[in-house]
Amino acid sequence: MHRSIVLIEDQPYDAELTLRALRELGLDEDVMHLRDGAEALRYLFEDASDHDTPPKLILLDLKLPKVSGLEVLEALKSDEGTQCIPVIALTSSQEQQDLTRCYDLGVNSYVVKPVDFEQFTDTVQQIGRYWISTNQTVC
Amino acid sequence: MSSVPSSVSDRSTTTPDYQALYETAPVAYFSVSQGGYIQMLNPYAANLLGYERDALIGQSVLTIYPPGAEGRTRALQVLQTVQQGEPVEKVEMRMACADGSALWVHLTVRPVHDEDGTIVRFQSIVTDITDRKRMQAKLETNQEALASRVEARTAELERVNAELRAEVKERRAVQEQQQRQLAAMDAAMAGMSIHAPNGDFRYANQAHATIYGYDDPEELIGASWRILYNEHEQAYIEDEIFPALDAGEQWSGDLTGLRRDGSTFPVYLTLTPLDDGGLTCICEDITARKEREQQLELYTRRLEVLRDIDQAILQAQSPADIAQAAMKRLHHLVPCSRSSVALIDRSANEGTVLARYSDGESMLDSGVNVPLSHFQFAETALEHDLHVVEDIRSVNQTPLIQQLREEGIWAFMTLAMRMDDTLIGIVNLGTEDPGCFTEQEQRIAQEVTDQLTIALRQAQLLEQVQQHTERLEQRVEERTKELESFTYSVSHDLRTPLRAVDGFSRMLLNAHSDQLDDEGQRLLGVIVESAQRMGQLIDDLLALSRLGSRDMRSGPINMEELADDVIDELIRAHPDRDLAFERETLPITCGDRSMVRQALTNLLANAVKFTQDETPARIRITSDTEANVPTYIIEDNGAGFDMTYADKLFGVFQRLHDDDAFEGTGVGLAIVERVVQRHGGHVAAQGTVGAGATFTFTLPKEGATSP
Repeated sequence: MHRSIVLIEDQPYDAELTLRALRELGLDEDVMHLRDGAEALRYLFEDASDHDTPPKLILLDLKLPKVSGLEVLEALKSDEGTQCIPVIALTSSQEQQDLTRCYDLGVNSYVVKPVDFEQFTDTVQQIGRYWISTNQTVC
Repeated sequence: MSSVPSSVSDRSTTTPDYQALYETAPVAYFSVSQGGYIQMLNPYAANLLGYERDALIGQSVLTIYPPGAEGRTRALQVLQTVQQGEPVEKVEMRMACADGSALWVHLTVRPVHDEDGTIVRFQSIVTDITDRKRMQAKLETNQEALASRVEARTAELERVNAELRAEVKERRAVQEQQQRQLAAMDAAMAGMSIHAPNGDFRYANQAHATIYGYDDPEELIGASWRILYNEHEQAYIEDEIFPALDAGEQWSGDLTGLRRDGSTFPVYLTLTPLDDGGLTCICEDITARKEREQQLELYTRRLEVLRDIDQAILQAQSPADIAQAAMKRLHHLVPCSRSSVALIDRSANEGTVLARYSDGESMLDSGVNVPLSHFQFAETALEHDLHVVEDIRSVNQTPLIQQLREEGIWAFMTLAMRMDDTLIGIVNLGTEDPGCFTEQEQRIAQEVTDQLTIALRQAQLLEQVQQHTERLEQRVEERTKELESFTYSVSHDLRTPLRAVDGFSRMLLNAHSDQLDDEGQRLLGVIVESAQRMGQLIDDLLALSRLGSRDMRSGPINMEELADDVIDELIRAHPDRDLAFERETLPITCGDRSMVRQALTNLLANAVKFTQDETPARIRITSDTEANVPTYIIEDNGAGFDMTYADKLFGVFQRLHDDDAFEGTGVGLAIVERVVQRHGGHVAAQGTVGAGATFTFTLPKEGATSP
């Protein structure tokens, strides 16, 4: 089944808040929620042939069980078939080392999750609107 | 629950959260009355000194200083200083624990004034520095021990040198005396001869014949002078001596005589021309004198080698450098074609080759670890300090010995390097001449080996001290890393649950408020607000901790531009406020731009916050043109503060206003202080309740090097 947004997030409450924000845009049905890095790699690479087209947006948490977000990002950006998919790091970390590493690996955007609920909802919705409706992709 | 005196009514000490922090902080706090009696202390403080908390309350502060006049005097000094209103910053003191032991601490004491400026009590913070002191003392002891060993060694070397010099002098004196005696006996003892113009002997006395190995002077009469010298000496005599004699001059000097049996010896001649063209000759066998001269030269060289090794000790070179230097010098003193120095570690059953020389050339394989069995006579060295093999054929023909034979080695000397009765290494010398190590050479080799042993031991000690220092540095680095990774976890792990608390409470408020009564909604509101404040607190604390570890990138900063920037930002952020900023001429400073910006933002945002009840809010940024470092002043007409608590203003979590009136986490000014201090400056605050506040801070001059 084809989904245009892939959300890779291990924290169930963060995932719920994200999905809820996207629901207000009518995008929640379009989201594939994956709970760790290994699951993400399986979905995006091994099972890629099951989807008609690649996703239009990947929301990626960095601190994930099994395979880290940085490793997922590296895999995505070093594969010809997936490197053009927009990847947004959506994380609690505002450490300089994470920022630098993500941009070195080719992340399309880096967003720190606000703690405040309204700001969080607003941020997620801005991302959804821009990357799903405004942005053009080549994949 | 609180034992805080009721006179301090600000929220920083009455809000349970902060009380909890005070109770659990890993820092020792004491509150002391004006008269020097402990009013209260936190559990960490009690624990540090090993007291029950209640046991110390009401006690004089002198109780917790070590007994004896010195501890008491020091404590009284501090007490008097603070009673005069002077704060005390991080003074080093000793404090007494309940069990009688003593701690080294850093003590900071600040007087707390009431509204009249009278001191009501003292706040003190105590940091345990015992471990640091102990480490320092240990390092110092190590270094002192090393220095005194070097000193003792140098003194000993000087003494040995003096003895050797005395011995040389004595020998010279003996020699001179002998010469005088010989002169007296000259007529009888010296060889004398008379030669015809063609050089043939006309006369020779018995002594002359004896010196040249002839039994009877008659054997010489009629013979040519040439029979007493080899071809080389004959040519020299003809070319160099005869012309002088022909010119009528007397000639004296050393020549090499040729005995009848073909052997040669040094001889001292005095030749005087005769009127008839012949000459007289007085000769003396100077073999003994020559030997003495060689001896003297050898002594001089020994002194030089000892001095060189001594130099190496004082320069604290590496063991390999010292060993190589010693072997190089030894080759000048003891004839050997091969030598090696190895350190031996018997517990590891291996040795390390420090230096190897072959025909005076240093070989490259030094520093290699090899099994003990590879060393020649390592076992012998365990029992003897000095072991000589005069003929290599006389010992067990191991492969190693056979290899040495192939290289042409015939004789061996093995010397043990011992320190406190433990064999720490061996020196091996090999030569191509069998049985040629004289007693004197053995003595020299032993002497050099002893010196080398001491030098190597010194080098080892020095290395140990250095390694110890490196280990300490490494530990500090590890601790810093641990702290950084803790900060990282805080930033990530604490935010996630907070987001859920905030988000789900909001959803409850938004979507299900009809099921909650007013009180229920209010309670949820408290949860939401607390979650947000905690989020802010985490952000602020992270910013503060980053300030400590971040590298400073120093450069010139145009403070006028920076202030204008921050002011614009603040005006945009508060569209509903009437903010009247005044920015006057500000000097350029030198520092880390983003850090200084953070400090300036915090100070100006603070001014904006505390002027919220003023219309218009007036905030002025000026500079002190009289000061010799850039000094900036920020004044406002806001709520101000009570000067009694001025010392608390810059402490983390310290707040002088209640939360309902002015929101905040109590970290902003702590960040300001940290930034200014990292730039080598200072910050101070002046205020009056209801009449505004003034903050003054200094930064480095333009072009100053970073502190």
